[in-house]
Amino acid sequence: MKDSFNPSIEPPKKTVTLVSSDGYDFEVEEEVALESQVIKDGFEDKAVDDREYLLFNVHSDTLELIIKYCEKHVSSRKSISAAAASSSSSNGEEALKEWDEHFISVDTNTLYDILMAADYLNIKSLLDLAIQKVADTIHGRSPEQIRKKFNIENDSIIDPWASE
Amino acid sequence: MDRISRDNAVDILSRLPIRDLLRCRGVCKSWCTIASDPTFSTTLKLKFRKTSTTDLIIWDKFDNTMFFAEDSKSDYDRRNRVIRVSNKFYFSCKEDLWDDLNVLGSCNGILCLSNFSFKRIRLYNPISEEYLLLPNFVTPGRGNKVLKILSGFGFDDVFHKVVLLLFYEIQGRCKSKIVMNEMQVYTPDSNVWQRSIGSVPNMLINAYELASSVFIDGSLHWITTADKSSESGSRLLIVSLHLGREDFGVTETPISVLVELEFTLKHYVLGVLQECLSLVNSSTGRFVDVWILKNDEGKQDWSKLFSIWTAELVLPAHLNEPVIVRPIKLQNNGVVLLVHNHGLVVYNAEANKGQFLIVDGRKDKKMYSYKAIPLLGSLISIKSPCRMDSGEKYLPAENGHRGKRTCY
Repeated sequence: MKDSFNPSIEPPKKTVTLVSSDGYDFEVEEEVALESQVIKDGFEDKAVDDREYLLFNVHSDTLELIIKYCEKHVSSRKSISAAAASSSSSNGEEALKEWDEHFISVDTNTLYDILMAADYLNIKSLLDLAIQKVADTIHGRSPEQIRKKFNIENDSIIDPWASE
Repeated sequence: MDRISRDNAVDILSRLPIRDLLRCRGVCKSWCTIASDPTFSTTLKLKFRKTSTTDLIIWDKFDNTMFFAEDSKSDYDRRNRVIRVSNKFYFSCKEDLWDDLNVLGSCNGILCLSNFSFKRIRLYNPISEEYLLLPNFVTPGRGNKVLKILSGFGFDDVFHKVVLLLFYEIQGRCKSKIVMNEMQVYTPDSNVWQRSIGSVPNMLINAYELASSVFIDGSLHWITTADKSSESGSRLLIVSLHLGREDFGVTETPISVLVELEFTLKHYVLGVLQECLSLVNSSTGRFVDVWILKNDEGKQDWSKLFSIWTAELVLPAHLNEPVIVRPIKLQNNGVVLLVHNHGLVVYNAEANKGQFLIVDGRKDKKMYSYKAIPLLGSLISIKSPCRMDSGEKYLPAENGHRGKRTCY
């Protein structure tokens, strides 16, 4: 085969199938799925022709976002290391940070969904991003505003601002 | 919020500045529980390493006010260095008629305050504004004269509670030469002073009277000298006490010094910089040396961080006076915050420049009246027992090594 003599052309990508809680199939590249530590841990045990993961806790809407995040991070990592290898200057990390910031700017419910999915799938960087976003959302808000924003029932016995 | 796990909720809350955390206690019960947990402070400490803000307690020794100040990196970058002061934490001691406020120590967000004669000692959490007046301690034996008192304030990480220790040197009624070293221990959950007649090393009492202890990694540290060994003076040493294990240890100082007179000890000041024990030496007068004790895989090594020309730290008018420098905080970029007897200074190692800090909102005040101590804010309650609720790490006294302690 002609291809085997050309190392720059990669072999066909292996894929795995992720199944969301509401029954949708998502076919993703193996390396994208491996961003999840949980999938990575279970990966070796699986037979090659049975790479399907049922994600009971992740809705298709959220899974779509998670895959988008992982794909972006896999491709960015490649371009950053490629830039480093050719010692050309790159603002890849800056750009990725910006992309992350844009990605996580979602409504509270979606943010929670992402946070819990990242926790369930054990994607550390995404979990960190989501947690920081929640912390940033809390920052500077009053208890009443926080309760409203996060839809929390007021069962509090103390009111730290009562004295003010 | 109840959808997410407790671990994640802890992670979220631990990323918040302390003032936000205070507000969060009022959001719901589960948040309040997390924010008030003593172990949470430890989590918080880990997070604070990543962030650039630190909080300070600054007090004014002339009008006896104390305030909570926030020192942030962004302020350092400006030309005009300002420490932001939150009036909410203004603490006036006037009603207590304290004429000589002294801060005995700060750990896990709790300050230990007293006056210089160790009366009216209280524990104070400036974030939750909770405070507790300690019962007076009684000096042992009637007619004994207390020659010297030394204090230590820290957190016992075995029993999970705050501990205040007082060591004192007493002289018997018959003015015999025998001097006993006594140690009294106070913990808030028992609310009584207990006397422990453990083996307090004699050299601990050689420490300079007004030197406060430094708490790091479960141990208190004092700078002192060995018992007089030669005519030319005694060797400079650091004595430590691990609060959980109650054992004393000795750490060598980076410089081999013989101290002739006790009061010259005040030129050697201990502190904590970047989670390491640090020592500032200003005994030479011309230079102020800042050392830290790096802990590298169990091996401890002193290294000299800076040698600062004293003229960079004090105003020309004070150049001929002795300067006593206490380290407060070191940033990764080589900027160190110091407090000395003439003010608060930020020193930039790269530029070899020192700059006085202005306390925001108190422009009329002369800087030299300030003293400062770092405080990592927490919402730990003083009045409720400071040990963990789970009881997992709490061992009854009879199982431990504390059986020797008797109620006094």
